[in-house]
Amino acid sequence: MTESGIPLTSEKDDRESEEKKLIKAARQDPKAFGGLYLRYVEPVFRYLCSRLGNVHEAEDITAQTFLIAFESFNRFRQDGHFTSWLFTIARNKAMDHFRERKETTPIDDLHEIPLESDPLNAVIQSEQAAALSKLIRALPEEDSELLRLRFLAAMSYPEIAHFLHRNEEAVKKSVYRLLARLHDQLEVPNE
Amino acid sequence: MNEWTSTPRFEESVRQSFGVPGIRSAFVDKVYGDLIRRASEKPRKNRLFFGLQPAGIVALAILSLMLIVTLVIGPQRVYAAILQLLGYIPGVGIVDPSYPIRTLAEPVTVTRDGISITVTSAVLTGDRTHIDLRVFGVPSSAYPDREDVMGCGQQPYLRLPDGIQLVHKGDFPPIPADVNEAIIVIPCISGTLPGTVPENWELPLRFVPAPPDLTVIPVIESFPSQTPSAMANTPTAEINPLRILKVLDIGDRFVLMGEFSYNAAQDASLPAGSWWAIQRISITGADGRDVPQSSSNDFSLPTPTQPGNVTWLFLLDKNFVPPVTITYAGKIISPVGGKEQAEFEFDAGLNPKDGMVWTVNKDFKLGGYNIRLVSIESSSRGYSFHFKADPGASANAISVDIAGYSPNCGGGGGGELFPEEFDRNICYADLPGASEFPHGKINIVINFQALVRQDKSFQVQWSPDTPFATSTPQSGVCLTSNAITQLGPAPTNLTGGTALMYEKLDENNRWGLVLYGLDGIRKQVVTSAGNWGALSPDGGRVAYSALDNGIHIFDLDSQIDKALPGAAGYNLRWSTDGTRIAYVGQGNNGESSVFVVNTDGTQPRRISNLAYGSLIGWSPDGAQLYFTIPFTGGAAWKVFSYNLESHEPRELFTIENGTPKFLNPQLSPDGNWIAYRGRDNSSLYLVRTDGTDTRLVLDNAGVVGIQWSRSGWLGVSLRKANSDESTVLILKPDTCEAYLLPAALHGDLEGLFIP
Repeated sequence: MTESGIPLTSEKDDRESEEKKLIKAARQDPKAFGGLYLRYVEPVFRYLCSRLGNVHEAEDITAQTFLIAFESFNRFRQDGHFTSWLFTIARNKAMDHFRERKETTPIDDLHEIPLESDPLNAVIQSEQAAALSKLIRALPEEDSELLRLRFLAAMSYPEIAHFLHRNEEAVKKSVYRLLARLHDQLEVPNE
Repeated sequence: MNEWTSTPRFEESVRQSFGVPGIRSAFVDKVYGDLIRRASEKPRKNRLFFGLQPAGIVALAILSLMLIVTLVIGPQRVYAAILQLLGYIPGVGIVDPSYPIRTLAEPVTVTRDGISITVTSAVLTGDRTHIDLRVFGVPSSAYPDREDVMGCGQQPYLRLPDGIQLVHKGDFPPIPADVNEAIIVIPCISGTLPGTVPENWELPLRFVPAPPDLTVIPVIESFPSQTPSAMANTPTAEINPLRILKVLDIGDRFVLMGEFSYNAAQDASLPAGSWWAIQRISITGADGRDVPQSSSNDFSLPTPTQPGNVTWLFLLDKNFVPPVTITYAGKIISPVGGKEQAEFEFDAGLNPKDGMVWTVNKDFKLGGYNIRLVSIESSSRGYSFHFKADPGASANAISVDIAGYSPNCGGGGGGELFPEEFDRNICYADLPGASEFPHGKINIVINFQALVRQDKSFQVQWSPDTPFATSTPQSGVCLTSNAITQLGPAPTNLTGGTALMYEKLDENNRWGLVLYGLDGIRKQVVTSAGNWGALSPDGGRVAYSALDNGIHIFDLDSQIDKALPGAAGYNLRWSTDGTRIAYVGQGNNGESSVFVVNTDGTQPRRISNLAYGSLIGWSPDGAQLYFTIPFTGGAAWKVFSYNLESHEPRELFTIENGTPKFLNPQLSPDGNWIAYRGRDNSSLYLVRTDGTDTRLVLDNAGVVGIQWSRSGWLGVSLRKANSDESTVLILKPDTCEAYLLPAALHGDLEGLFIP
């Protein structure tokens, strides 16, 4: 068993331990839910922003996600996975949002919506980065979702596995193969 | 190494290539403020019990009950037991019985396009409206075929006659006492894709006063005295940090709620910097036996009396010898002696690149241990140091610093107990206020702090104030959980059989399928890369679902592993003659359905288009395949048989008391009985395949794995509460003859062969 409380723990253990403390604190005092919010607001926002392709909508759905999580927190059980639970709410809200605008915007076209203020351009500083961005945009949705969960939502492999109801090893392999494929397509030297 | 390995830098490139901007701090602050404002308005959960009750009635009830309790248990104990008048409705929770409870006048069903939604029951109390509804007949094609696409997530709501809408949040809010009609509006069926099935369902509901036979179990809430508490290894004068806050007597069970407040860092008797690590929680009766526990979502954790305390909740069956002792066992870990350091200079070069590795092989003597720094690797985020050391060295605190640089995204710590090889990482990511990335000639400091560990346990004892009647096992129960520990080993004529277990293979958390002899001596790892194992009826082959979801067959004699091309899925069931395997797989559009494939890999074919099927087994003649389809939104399962010649499915009956989580239904070899897990996720039931004669076989025993052998023995693996340990037993349901299998068998039972 993990020796919780060890002063020199790994980053992963620290994260899990901190999350448990925050959950316990939020059960004691609803105000302490603010700690969970501050911990996860950025990963949730990044995840939603990537899915929705629009900063304002991502902010709106992020706010809704946390308000729902706060209101239904007493339904969240200790044995549950908080990250998975939270991102399930976020994903559901995103899908509700898609459904609402389905009349005018096919889901498959969402990735072509220009990002407001085009933050992509601010990031792309080299041909390689631009090429990688293009490759990621061309990925099937299930593959880009894996990358989104891993690198934007910053979820661990067990968390992704739980979230997607998949085997952890299979998730690891999928992400690894995906990265290897992107790498091969980029032909990055010395990596 | 020929294989490409991802680097942190490349992963960072991937992250940035999504082009997602940083979050605006103004937005973060605004939502944070909104949440805190809402939190300020939110009542604390444990006030529910008080909040439920009209003040006058409560006062009267308490006075009456205090009088009764004074007479029953004596005035000296009344101070410790303030009682409240509460009721408990299983599946609903604690209610105020003084408020008029109403129920659904009659079930309501609406059917559209072959899909039916039924509101089966409703309970209206003063603080909530609890409604059970079931959905059936949704084709699998209505659900998303990709995991990243979510179906409907819109919540149903109740529309009252005056137009007010009550939105579902776990339960619905209470309906005013003078309103006896409402319409439940279901915008869409949960999880389905838009346009695939009818939407905007409306079911008119009518409520009536609860019938006299509605189960409302009287609840006695008490606040026990802490006098009988005890704390192991600690002077009795100290306050026990393990405390019972409240006990609910709900008829056949006690609900114990308490908190734990120990903080080794504030324990003056320990060296500074000590901490306590919990390792085990046990609850035993006065006879030393584990007290049987139940699980339920009907109760919430209590609120701690002090910030930082941890609260807990246990449901104890009234089947123990009081007093019960709750034990929190762990270790105190303390630094001992001074901190030791070793320092050396290392040249990382002016421009250390991601993925560069330097072989160092530098030896140190710290804390009496030989420690070798084998290599250093740089990344875009920092450095990783790889060590080899004497056994036990890494059970102490070993960390790495780079002199003059402060890591800002995770320090170079560690704390493994046993590995003789370990890594320490220092991170210098580009966070605000980050140090310059260390480069050139740098001084590396290795810190060593010896640690000592000592066992420390905390205990609290509790006895009910009044004697209680032991729960009476239901008629026909073969074994209660207490009786299981008294079982003897299987006779030698049975130990020639085998059991397939899905178990943790090593400390690296790898799980796999292992075949054991029932003597516990013979052991063979079948695969470390698969699950959902199934042992063929003759015990000679194991079918399993590999990590890529493909179905494999492993021949135990030849040791040959064969993949069945075109067959992928889980929930495998062998036909009685061993020529076919049924499984739950995905159709061309990705929807899950029931399939059958020949064991030579030919003819994988789909036999059901209903979603989320779960297999039961094959009839002895191989003509029928039994499977279940759950009602969505409920905990009931419809049982079907499918005739493989006529291709006709037939609805047989509904299992009403099964668990909604993992039913694990298994067909007996004579085709007459279905074994399954009960609603409590813990009991084992049998029901005939015509739906009659439901029997409780194992009551609240922690049942997980269920397997029949062809000779009629039923094997069950039982998961112990608060533990990864399990017990495996075999029994004959008709005679209740039962035996424990050796402790070497652990994990979940996935196959059983007894000739």
